[in-house]
Amino acid sequence: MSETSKPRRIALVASKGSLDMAYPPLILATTAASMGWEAGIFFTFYGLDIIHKERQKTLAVSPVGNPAMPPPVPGVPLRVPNLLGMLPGMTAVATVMMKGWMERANMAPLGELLQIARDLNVRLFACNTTLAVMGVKPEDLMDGVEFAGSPAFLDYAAEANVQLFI
Amino acid sequence: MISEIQERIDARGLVCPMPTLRLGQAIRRVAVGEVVELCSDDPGAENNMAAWERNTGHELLWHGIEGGVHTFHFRRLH
Repeated sequence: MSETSKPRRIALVASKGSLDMAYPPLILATTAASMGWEAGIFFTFYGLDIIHKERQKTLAVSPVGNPAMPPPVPGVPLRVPNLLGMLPGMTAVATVMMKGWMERANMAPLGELLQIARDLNVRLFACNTTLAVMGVKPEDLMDGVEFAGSPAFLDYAAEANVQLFI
Repeated sequence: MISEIQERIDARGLVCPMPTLRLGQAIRRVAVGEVVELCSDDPGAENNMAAWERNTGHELLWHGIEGGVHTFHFRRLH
């Protein structure tokens, strides 16, 4: 990066609100910001839960429809069949499992990644259409969030070197 | 290897993106011209730090590997 050139920019759309899908946009945005890039994430539809004060604490992952979910008992190559994954409590079990993997790998919890994102001036855009559709109030969202619609995000993304829909 | 290191980051046991984020936080804490040391056993560390140097414009002064642990010395340039 030369001193005179414009910084690189990444524009991400976070459209999913499951625990496993909350990490990739935050990892990419914080890494980019750490490298001196401008970074912005547009949280839309279920992705809005990631910046929702209460819902961000209860993001979950389901074994249903996820053939990549590893077997629950290490060493026993039995994956959870979809039919069993639908039983009450299975989503909670899968979520605890995933949080355990993250902890073992010393991955920062989601809350810490969000704090780092704010410290690095990652722009967090809340899709205001989603607020209306999902009945979310602006005060339900984390501090530091900006409100934007698709025109504002497209304008931001048009100037980006990397644009990803997650 | 150089001796005047202002801050050391021990990122052993941390996976991507944490070593990069810790380095980014440290480089902001030191003054321009000062040096940060990063230790990482992330197998992607060498490629990641080369990319970090290219993108941030800070200077990689030294890189060594011992027992699977990479050590990097970065000088803050701006």
